[in-house]
Amino acid sequence: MYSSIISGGILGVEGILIRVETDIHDGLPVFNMVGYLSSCVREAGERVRTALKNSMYYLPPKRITINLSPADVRKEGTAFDLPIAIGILVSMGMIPEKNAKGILLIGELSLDGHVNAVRGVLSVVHHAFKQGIRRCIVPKGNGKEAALIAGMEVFAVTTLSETASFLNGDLDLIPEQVDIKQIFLRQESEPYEDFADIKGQAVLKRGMEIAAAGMHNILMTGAAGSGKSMIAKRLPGILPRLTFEESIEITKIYSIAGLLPENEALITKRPFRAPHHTITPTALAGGGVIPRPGEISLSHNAVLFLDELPEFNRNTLEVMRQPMEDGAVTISRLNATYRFPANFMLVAARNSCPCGHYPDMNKCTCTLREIRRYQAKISKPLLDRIDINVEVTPVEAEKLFEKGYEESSERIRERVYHAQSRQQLRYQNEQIRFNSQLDTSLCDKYIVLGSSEKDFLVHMYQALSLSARGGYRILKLARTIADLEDCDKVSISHLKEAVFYRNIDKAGGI
Amino acid sequence: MTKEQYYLWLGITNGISNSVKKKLLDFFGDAEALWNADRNVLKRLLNEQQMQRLMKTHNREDVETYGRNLEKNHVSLLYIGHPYYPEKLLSIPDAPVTLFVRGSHMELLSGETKSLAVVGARNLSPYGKQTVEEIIRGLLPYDIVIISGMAAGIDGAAHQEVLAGGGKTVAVLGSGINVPYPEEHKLLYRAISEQGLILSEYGLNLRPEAWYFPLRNRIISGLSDAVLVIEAKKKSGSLITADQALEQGRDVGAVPGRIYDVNSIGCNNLIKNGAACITSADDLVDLLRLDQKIVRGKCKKITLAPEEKMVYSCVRLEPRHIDDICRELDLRVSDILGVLFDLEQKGMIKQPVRNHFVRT
Repeated sequence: MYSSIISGGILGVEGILIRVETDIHDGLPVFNMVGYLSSCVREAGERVRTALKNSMYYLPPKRITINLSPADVRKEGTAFDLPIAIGILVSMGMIPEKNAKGILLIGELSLDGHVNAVRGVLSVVHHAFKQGIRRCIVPKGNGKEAALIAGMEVFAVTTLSETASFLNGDLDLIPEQVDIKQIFLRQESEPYEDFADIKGQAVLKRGMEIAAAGMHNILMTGAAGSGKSMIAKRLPGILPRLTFEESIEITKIYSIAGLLPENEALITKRPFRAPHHTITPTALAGGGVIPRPGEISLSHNAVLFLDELPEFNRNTLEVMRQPMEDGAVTISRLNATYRFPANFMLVAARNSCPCGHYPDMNKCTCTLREIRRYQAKISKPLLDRIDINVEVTPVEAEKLFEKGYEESSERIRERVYHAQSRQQLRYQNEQIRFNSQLDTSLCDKYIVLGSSEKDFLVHMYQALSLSARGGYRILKLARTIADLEDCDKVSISHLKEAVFYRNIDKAGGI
Repeated sequence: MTKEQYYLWLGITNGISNSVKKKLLDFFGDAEALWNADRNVLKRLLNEQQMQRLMKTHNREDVETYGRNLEKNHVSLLYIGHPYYPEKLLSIPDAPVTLFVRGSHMELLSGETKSLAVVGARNLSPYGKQTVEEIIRGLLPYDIVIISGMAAGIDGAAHQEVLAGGGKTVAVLGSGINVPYPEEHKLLYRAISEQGLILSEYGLNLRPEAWYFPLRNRIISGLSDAVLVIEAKKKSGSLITADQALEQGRDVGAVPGRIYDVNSIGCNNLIKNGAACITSADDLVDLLRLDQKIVRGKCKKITLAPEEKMVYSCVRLEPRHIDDICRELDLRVSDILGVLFDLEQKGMIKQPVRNHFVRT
C-alpha cells in the first residue's frame, strides 16, 4: 500500500518541505530508499527497521520502497527517521492514513525507539506554517522551539510507539505552549557585569555606548591590560533589547548550528561571540560540504568580539569585508547557493605595537618599522568599515584606586533603549532596525542635513580625504549620536563627535 | 685617464680605510702618481691585504665603466682638491678623500650659508617629532642648511620638515649613494636629491653596514657649524656625532626632556656636560649667529570663546589623553569633543596620536 507523510529539511537557514512516500507490495523482501540521499539519510533505513522491531512492530517480508521527494534536492540530516517509520506503519495499515494527513513529522530515532532532538526545527516548522500546515509532531527536545510559531499545534513526543498511539487516537497529547513574554521577562532580570566597575576610560565608554545604540563597529587600540577586554565583556549589559523578530532570526541560526540549548525555546539575549584568533576563514564565515553558519552568522543581530585583531590570519579577516556591507554571507555550492544572515556588530581589540606599550616610548621596545608593520596587519578596507576608533590608555594607579562616581550599566542601558526605540519608530516601514544598517538611499531619505551641516561635512570630506563609504559612515554615526541625545535633526556637534570617533587615518602612529 | 678617474679608483676601492688612502695621497702627492706608483714602494706602505684590495680595482676599463654608471645614476664624485669639495670638511681630522654626491645644488656645500646638523633617536616619541617640527619651522625663515642622515626617526622628520617648508637640506648616507636606507624613505631620498643634496662616502649599490654609520656621522658633524641632538637614549649613535662635533670644534646643542624619558637621557647628559640647552629655534639663531632673511609677519590674533579657553588651558605641551582632560574639567566627553575639534581646526592643538591632544 502507498502512503505519503510530510517532513522537512533545511537549505541554508530556510526550511523546505519534503514528502516521504512509502510503498509496500509483494515481491522479494527488499528495503529500498531513493531520492538523492546523503549517507546519513541512507542510514535511516537501518535505524528505522531496528527501532520498529524494538517497538514491537514487525516488518512484513515484502518489497518496501521509500522515496523522499522532491527528488532533486539533496537530503541531509537525521530528521527523516520518524516520518519514514510512521510512513511504513501507515503503509502496513497500523495507522489510519487520514490520521497522518497534513501533519509535519520530524525526528531522529534511536535503536530502542526513542525520538531524539534534531537541528533546524524552527526553520522547518516556520516554513511549514507558511505553507499552510497547522499541526506538527517533533521530538520532545525541540518542542519549545517549534511552539514559538503562533498558530501551530505542536506535539512533542519521546518514543516511536507514543507517536503511533497518538496518531491512532489511543493517546492524547497536550500541545506544547511557550509564554514568550515570560521568556523575555526572565532575560531582563538576568545579572550583567557592570560598567561601574571600570574606572576612567570616559572616551571608550562613550564610544561603547554609541556603538551599542546603533550597532556600529568599534575598534579599541591600546596597551595590554588597559581594560579593552574588560569593557568588551560588559558590552552585552548595555546592548539594545532583542525584539521578537530578531530573536526568531537568531534562534533559527542557532537551531541549524545545533547550538540551541535543549528545552530552551528562544535565544533571548543578544549573543556575544568571541572566537579565538586561530579560527579559520570557513569557521568565521560559514561553509563546509553542507554549508553551516559560521561565527559571523552566529553573531547575527549580535556582537562578534575579535580580541587581538592583528593576530588573526589576514585571509580570515578579509572574508568579513563583504558580509559587513551586505549583512549576509552567500556561500555557493554546485547544487545550491546558501545565504546566511550576518548582520553583526564587530567589536575588535588590538595592541598598538608588538610589545603593547606604544605610544609610551619609555616602555615601548619596538622599532618604528615593527610598529608600522604591526598596524598594517589590518587592511585599510577593513578599517574603513569601522565606525568608531578609540585609543585606550592605561589608567594610572592612583586613579584606579581612588573612589569616584562611575556610571552604571543601567543608566547607559536606558539611554541605549531610548535610542533604539527612536530608531525602531523611524525604520518601522523598512527592512532595517539600526542606523548602522542604513544603505546609501536610505541614508539620503532619513538623514536630512541643514545647509550649514552639509557644508561642514563637505569640508571634512575634503580635509580628511574620506572615502565615499567613510563619509556615509560618519553620517550614520552622527545619526546615532543624535538619537542618544533625543534630537530629531543631526547637528554640527553630532557630526563633530562622529568625526572624532571615526578617525581611522589618524593611526596611533607617527 | 682624467684626474677624476684616478680619484674614482680610490673612491671605489673598498676595504681600505680613509686614513690609509689619505696617507697614500700625502706620500705620492696625488691620485695619478699613486696609480703609476711602483709596486715595491707601495708594498712598503701597505700590508698584503690592503695591497690586494687596491690592485683589485687598479684596472682602467673597470674604472671607466664605473664612471659611466655613476653618470647614469646622476652621481658625481668630489675629492680633496675638487672645486666643489666642501671647505668645512678639509678642517676635520680624517676628512673623506672622496665623496659621492647626487643632486645639483652644489652651492649648499660652499660653506657660505650656515649649516646645522639635526640628529636624534630612530624611535622618536611624539615629543621628539613635535620638537623637530617646531624648531625647524622656526629656522626656515633664515638662510640655513639642515644636515642630517636620512635615518628613521628624528633624521627623517627633520628632512621632511625642511622639504615641506621649501628649505635647504643635505643628507649624508651610511649606505651606497644610490641606496635609500631605510627603505621606506625612498620617496624622501628622491625629494632630497631634487631639492637638496645627497652625499655618501660609499659608491653604487653598497648595502649599509653597521660600522658605516659612525663613520658617516663625522661627515654630518664636519659639514655643519653646529650639531643639534633631539632625543637620544643613554647610548645613542647621535652621541657619537656629538662627540665628533666636539673633536672637530663644532658647537653642540641638545633639546632637554623629562628626566624619566629614556629618549631624553642622552640629551640631558649632553647638557650636563656643557652642551647648549636648546629650547627654541631662537636659541639656535643665537648659537649660530644667523642673519634673518625674511621678516616674519606679525602673529595673527586668534580669539577664543570662553569654553575654548577653558579646554585649551587643559591641553599641555606634551600629548594628553582626552580622558585626562575630561577629568580635569569634570565634563562629559561629548561636551568637550566639539570644542577640541574647533581648536584643532583653528590650529591651536593637534592630535599627534589618536585621542591624545597637544598644543601646537
